[in-house]
Amino acid sequence: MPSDSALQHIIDLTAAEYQRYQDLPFAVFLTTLDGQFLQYNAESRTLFGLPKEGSVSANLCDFYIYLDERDYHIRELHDLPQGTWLRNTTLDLEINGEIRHVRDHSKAIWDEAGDNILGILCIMISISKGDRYNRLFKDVPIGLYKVRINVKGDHELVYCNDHFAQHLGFNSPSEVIGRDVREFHPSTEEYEQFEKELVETYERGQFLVDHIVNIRDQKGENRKLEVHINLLKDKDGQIIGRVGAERDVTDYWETKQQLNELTTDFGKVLHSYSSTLIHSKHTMDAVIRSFISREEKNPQSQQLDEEKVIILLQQQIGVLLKTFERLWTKNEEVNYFREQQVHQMQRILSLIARDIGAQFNIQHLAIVRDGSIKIREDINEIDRGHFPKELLKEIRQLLTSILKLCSLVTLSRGVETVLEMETVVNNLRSYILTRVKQAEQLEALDIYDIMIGVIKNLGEYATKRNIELRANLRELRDVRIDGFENDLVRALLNILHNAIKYSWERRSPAIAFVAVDGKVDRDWVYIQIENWGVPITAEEIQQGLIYKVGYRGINSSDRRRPGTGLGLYDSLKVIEKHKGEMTITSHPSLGNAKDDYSNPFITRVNLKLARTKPSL
Amino acid sequence: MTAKVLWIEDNADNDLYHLTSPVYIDGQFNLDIATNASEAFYYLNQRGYDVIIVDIRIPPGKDPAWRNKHESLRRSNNVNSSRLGLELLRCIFDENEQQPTLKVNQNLSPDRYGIFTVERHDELKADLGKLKLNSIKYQRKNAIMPHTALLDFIKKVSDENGTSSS
Repeated sequence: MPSDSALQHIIDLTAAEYQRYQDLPFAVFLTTLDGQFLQYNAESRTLFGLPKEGSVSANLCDFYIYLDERDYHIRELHDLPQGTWLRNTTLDLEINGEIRHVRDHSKAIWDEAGDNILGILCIMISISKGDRYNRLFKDVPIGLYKVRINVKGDHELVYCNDHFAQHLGFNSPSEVIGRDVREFHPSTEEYEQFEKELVETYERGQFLVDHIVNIRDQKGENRKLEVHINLLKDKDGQIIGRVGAERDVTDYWETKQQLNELTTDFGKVLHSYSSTLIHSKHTMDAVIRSFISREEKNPQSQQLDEEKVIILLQQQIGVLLKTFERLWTKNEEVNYFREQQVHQMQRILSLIARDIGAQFNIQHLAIVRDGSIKIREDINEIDRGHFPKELLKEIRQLLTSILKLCSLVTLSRGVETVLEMETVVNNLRSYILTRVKQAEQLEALDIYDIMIGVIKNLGEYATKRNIELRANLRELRDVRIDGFENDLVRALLNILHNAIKYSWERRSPAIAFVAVDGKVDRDWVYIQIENWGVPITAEEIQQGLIYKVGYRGINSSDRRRPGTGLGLYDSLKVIEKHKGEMTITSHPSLGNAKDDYSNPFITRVNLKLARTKPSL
Repeated sequence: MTAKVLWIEDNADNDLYHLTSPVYIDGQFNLDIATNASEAFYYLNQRGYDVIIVDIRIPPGKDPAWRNKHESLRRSNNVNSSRLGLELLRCIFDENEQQPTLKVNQNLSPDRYGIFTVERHDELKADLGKLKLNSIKYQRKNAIMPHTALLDFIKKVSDENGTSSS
């Protein structure tokens, strides 16, 4: 603590200045650097609630609510040139249990060497709430205003802040205050409509909020303002004006409108795309039904049995090769085909017969088809009489049979592709409609019914892919969750569709399956969807890549698997919207290395959703 | 002697498999298929080709360098994040290509290349111009093309660069 002589020294240094200011109608006082009052005028006694007479031993720091403001204040004084006032610092003080806001002007008192601050001379003014709100009114980054309806019936702008003035195309409030605001509305009709809505909302006991108003500003430009308004009435219920806040949403509004139009158009396109896919699927089904014979059908499903058809195809190709042996033998006699032609046809036949013992893939089927067509063309061009009629007829019949079998399998796989794409398109359409355009209502949903619906929906697709859906959902019977139905159904469809799509097929008689399990406890519903097939790498799971929009799994394109890269992203968002949890694991089948992604993995999607709380 | 062809196309084994069988049946071309940028990059650095047909929209594949490139383009919302075929052409023909790990060291003759894509030519013009590939052969993929469209385009590129097989 400084000695009395040191304190007197500070007083002496400021004597002249203190004398000059002490009669001002503000608190004028001198403190040491650590806040001890040395001199104070009568206004200071009033401001700080100090005794009206006699010396006081108070410390300014005791009145600070935020003491770090004092440290910051002193640092600022340090940085100023000597003799300079630090003006207009706003401080919060607590005086006699009340919070007081003050504006402070301070000046540091330095020692003669100019090395140290010895004390601080302050002029402090108590400021009203009004002052602070005025400051807030000026600083807040939205337009604020008040309109009154004067005796002449004008809708006169009585005050506004800078932002409001700027939104109307003026530089400052003084340029626009006093104008009739109706002049900024594009038409009388629009203004009357706006007023009508304002009054109706008021009569419902509400404020008009989030309302978009069209404005033509001072420069003649059309703008959109989002307004939040409270109507003002006098004691007789007459409307006398309004107060409001607004923000300029012109750019945002245009973008929103464009997005709205785009999503509407996009939704329509997807709708018609979906219809086209259904039409294509039914057309393909009709063709299959027209040409399929009993031995090519699965007796249970009455659908095309691809395995049977492939076996028949392999048999027919075998017979074709043998028949051609006879043709070549005959050709040696008649010498009809030149060596090069024979070589060309034999090359095509070898392409057709390639991998004959193995499962046909779709590319091989295309080669069998195009090769058969090419050979049929060559056979059809043979002049009469060079080869026995029966031999050529036999070859043509074999080729027709091969082409029919090929076409049946190709069509069946085409149906599979259409079904796959139809789910993708439908989910995308539902995503746009429910996530982007319409808000759904929360309701108590029967989770068992929803799961059964989802499984049924994908039943045909699973059958086409030769995947069995094994559901164990008994525990979910009569269990409800609070949810958004369309969102939840779409998320579950996405997850189950993925599980089927990314399953590997097993060789007969084994069959690949997707297991859907449901469990419950008192508070939660647990759903697990498990498949065996395409791996998800550890990196993709750990880094959350699989949940990113547009991301297609590193191993997802190993077979025909169309997709948008939206499914898991959307599913996660939906589950989060339900305040649930979604986790994904992917592990190698028993005995396989964990980083060998050429082997099938078991992938599990686990969902946890809150049960509806029973009503009391 | 059959000419060697590389077709860079992610849907070659799937939706566009119909296009390959005419090439096999025709017998003039030996066809390799790369279904992503990583495979294409590998083939281009391993084998010499008479004709290279490039799709514009291809996935990155498994090569970490291509995955990183894809991810960094995606993060910066670069439209080319899904047009890695264009990035592949940049690795081959852009003299200022910065990433040495993605440099292609052979198959550097532009007249052996053809672009076979759903993108319209004018959508690619600016990027191709920067690579001085304005005169690269181009064929649009769409539903009305015949099933021999790939074979026809290979023949066109092959005939014009003088590598057509006898």
